Formats: sequence, C-alpha cells, structure tokens
Amino acid sequence: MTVTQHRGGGGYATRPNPSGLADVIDTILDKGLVIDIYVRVSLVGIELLTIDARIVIASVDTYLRFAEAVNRMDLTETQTSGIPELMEDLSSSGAKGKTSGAIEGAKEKLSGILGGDEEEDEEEKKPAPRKRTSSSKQSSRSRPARKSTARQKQSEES
Amino acid sequence: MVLHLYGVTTADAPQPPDLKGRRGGELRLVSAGDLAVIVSDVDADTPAGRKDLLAHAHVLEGYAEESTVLPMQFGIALPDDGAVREQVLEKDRESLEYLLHSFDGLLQVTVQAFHHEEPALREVLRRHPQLMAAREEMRAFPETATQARQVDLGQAVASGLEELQEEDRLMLLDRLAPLSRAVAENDANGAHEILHAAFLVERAERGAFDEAVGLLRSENEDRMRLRYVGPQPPYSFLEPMKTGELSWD
Repeated sequence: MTVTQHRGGGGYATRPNPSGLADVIDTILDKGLVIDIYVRVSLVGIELLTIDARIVIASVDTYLRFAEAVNRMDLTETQTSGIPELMEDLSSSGAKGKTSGAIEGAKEKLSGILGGDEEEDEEEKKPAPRKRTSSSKQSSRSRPARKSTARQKQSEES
Repeated sequence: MVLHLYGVTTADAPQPPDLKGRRGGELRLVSAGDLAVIVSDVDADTPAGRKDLLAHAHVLEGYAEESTVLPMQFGIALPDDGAVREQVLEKDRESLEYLLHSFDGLLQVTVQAFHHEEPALREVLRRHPQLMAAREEMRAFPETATQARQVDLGQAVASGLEELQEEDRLMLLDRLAPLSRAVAENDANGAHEILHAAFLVERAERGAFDEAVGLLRSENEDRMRLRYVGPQPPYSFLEPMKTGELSWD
C-alpha cells in the first residue's frame, strides 16, 4: 500500500488572519491617507501606544538572559548530533512551551494601555518600526544591523 | 454625530456582508463620480479604544477581500457628506484615482516569523561548539563569579542568533517574494523575530501565496512560528507608490 500526499483538497493552503492589536500599530496608526484639514476624534490613550517598546536586543541585560537560557538548557541531546529533534520532542515535551522564556521579561505588555479589556491575540507586539520597501524583482538588500536603541516615537497627537 | 472615515474605494465596491463600523455603526459609501469614501456615524466625543482600532482595521480588511481600498489613518472624522466629498474626494481626486488604478487587483498580506527560542539556541550552540565549551567551563563556578564572561557568552549567542535569523529571513523571502509584486520589510525587532514583511499580492495569486505560507509553516513548525495577516489594503505601499519609488504603468 502506498501513501500519497494529496495536494488537491487545499493542500497546505492557509487563510490569513484578521489584524490584531499589534498589527494596527504599524498600519492604521502609522500608515494610510490623511487629509489636510480634519478633525481628529478623541484619541484617548493613543499617545501611549506610540511609545516604542522595542526590545533592546544588544544590551547586557539581554545577553545575561541568553547566557542564562543557554546555561539551564539540557544539552545532552545536542551533543549527540544524531537524532536531536526526536530526542528533544521526547525529553522536553515540545520546545514550544518554553520558547518565550528568556526574553519574556523584556517585552512590555501592550495590553491594558487601551483600556484593558483583555482578550485573544497578544502576540509579539512591536510598535511601528520604519519600513523598507523594495520591488521584489530587485530582491535582497541587506538588513541594517539591529540597533540597541530603545526609541521613543513622537506622539501622534497634533 | 460625525462621520468616521475608513478609506477610499471605488463607488461600485460591494459592501461586505455583516460588516459593521466602529461601535457597531452602519457602513456606507459617500461617493462622488467613481470614487467613494467608506464611512460610518460615530459620536463626536467617542473615545478611541482598542475595539475602535480593530474595527477600523477590520472594515478595511473586509473591503479589501473584494475591492481595491486605500486606507485612511485612524482618527479622521468630518462633519457630513459634503465635507467628505469636498475635503477628500474632490481635493485629491487625481492622486486617489492614480492610486486606485495602481493598486487595482492587488492586496497586501503580512508575514511575521519568529524563531522558537530553544531550538534556535540549540542550533547556535551546535554551530559554535566553543560556546558550549565556555558554558561547561563556567558551570564550575557560581554565577556571580563569572558575570563578565556570562555577558560575553550571551553576546556571542545573540550574534549567533542574528546569523540564524538572517539565514532564515532570506530563505523565507526567497520563497515568498517571487509570488508577490513588491515587498516592504519592517526592521525585525524582538529577540527572535526573523521577518516582518508586507507583500503586495495579486488577488488572483492569493491562493498560491496562501499555499506557500502554509507549506513554510508546516516545514518549519518545530523551529519557527509564522503569523499571517490579511487581506489588507496596501498600507505599506501607499507612500512608495505616491512618491514614485514604486510604479508599473
């Protein structure tokens, strides 16, 4: 008996999800048409959103967290380099549960800023970095080195 | 009451079923010629909370399913239909027509990818055995005695992670960019973010893009997590299209 992979019934196709709160920060608050004269509706709390909570990746604090994460990792499987993935699955019951460990503390909670009616979708929140645009034809440009700056964007209030 | 403005579309854009505006408001089009602005009534002093932000985004996404939409930034309100025609449609008609024409048949989707931390760290250690050695060496001492070296170790790990992220970023772009008309990348941020990119995709090619994302997701699920958001109006491509950085006519 042979097993064939069916790509017909949708295959791997996956539908995209609607935006969550993390997404709107660099879409509707950062991009989009504006008009010359307009009345801004009252934006309670919006200025708080624009505080750039990006994670400071190049900091002593982060380094220590990485070091700690590496230190507490059980590496017996890694060294055997044979079937590490399999071993990992068996021994750590899925790495996913732990993945956020080392850096969790560095992330600021966006939740609450907008009134705190907590719900779904809190992902890596990432306020409005600047975009880079390229036509896909002219492909790869190198990405700028990540910077260690914790920046504060200007308030959106006029 | 004022009119909250969501975005500009064509006057014949069908209204997506069951879609509501901020605070459950009814959506309608204020049109002039073949252009229209998507609006709903809202109390002038309604504060903006997270639900309002999401409603604005979701209205635009709802229209983007079938129609070409130019998003307006959140927070623009005008007193009545006349003001909408005058301040938006008539004033900027030429530019709006150009943009609607340029984005005709195109939509944006956004892909974000994040490494799972533990497998990424393992991979870094596998590639750099000297880090593993450093770790073993330090284990003999109390942590307080090795802080400077801990920082060095962490720094080396961080640079190993960046190397891995760059590799995977290129891999992902390599697979997805050819299915799109243009790509706009945000700088990745967060310790494990690999990619954060908006893709401008032809509506007709959307199935192929969906499939490519699904395939990448299943091929890499033990190493990374993919977020896939859309369909969106072409947020990231508006400015480049206006300035001429992007063009295809």
